[in-house]
Amino acid sequence: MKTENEIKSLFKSAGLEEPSDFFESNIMERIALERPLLKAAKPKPIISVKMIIGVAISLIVIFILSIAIPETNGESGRLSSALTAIENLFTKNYKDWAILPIIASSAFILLLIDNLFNKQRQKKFR
Amino acid sequence: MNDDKYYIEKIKHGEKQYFSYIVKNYKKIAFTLALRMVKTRAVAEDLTQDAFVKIFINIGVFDYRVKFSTWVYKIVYNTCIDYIRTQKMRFDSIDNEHFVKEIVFEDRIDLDREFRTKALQEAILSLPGDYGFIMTLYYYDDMNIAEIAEITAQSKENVKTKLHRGRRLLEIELTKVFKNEVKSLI
Repeated sequence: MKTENEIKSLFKSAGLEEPSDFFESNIMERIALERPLLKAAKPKPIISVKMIIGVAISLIVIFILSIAIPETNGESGRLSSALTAIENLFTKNYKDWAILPIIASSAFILLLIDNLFNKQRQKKFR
Repeated sequence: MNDDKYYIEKIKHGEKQYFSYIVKNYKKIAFTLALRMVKTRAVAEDLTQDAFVKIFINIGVFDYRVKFSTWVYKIVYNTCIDYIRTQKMRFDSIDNEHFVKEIVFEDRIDLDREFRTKALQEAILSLPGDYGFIMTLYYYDDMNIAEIAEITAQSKENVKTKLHRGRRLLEIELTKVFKNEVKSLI
């Protein structure tokens, strides 16, 4: 045997082996009882995109509101007003609307923590 | 491959009947590869059937990152390897030597086409281990060394070595059968 092409032609001329006549029907009978596996779903990430967006939106709202509220209790605006809103919550001044985004972002943080705990629990049971 | 993709998607969507296309298209090559691994027709047929069932069950997770044929051959190869491991089958089977001798005693003068084909097939079949499998992929299916290495989970160097040794062994086997007619055969 001299060249690769000669061996190639040897293999081509040997051809392929033929299975028995019932080969195909046997397989089709066997797969009639089977089901193809579905692609495994990707595990959900601990911090989802939804959560990041939610937290980002609430932070933006806090920022905008803190700019919009000029002064509270004699202090200058911006973030200090949001802090004042928290203070007002404890001093029973519930009408301060700057508290809403704080509640929203707190809810998101709670959800995030809850999600983290759930993941940990699932891992334990696996 | 595009045809394959069409049928694969149909099967993925639960239309089982399209699997017969996959079987028709790959049964000969899959059976040949299995036979050249396990050397016995009945066992090769059972293993090829098992491989096709595995292909069907796992077709849902096939993601086109490799060629479908590569994936099919890999399943056939692994099915055969698992069988060989469980049977602790010796690669250099005495039965193969016996078969080659049988051919020698047949009518050596009248080397008609059918006999030549049969003799060639048996000579390939007599190759030890997965040599026949590797050589079939390389010389019959025109696969490259990297693809064969991927299918058989071996290094490229190992595949090259097996191709080289396989060529020498095949020449020895053919010489046994055809004596001086080897050159005219090829």
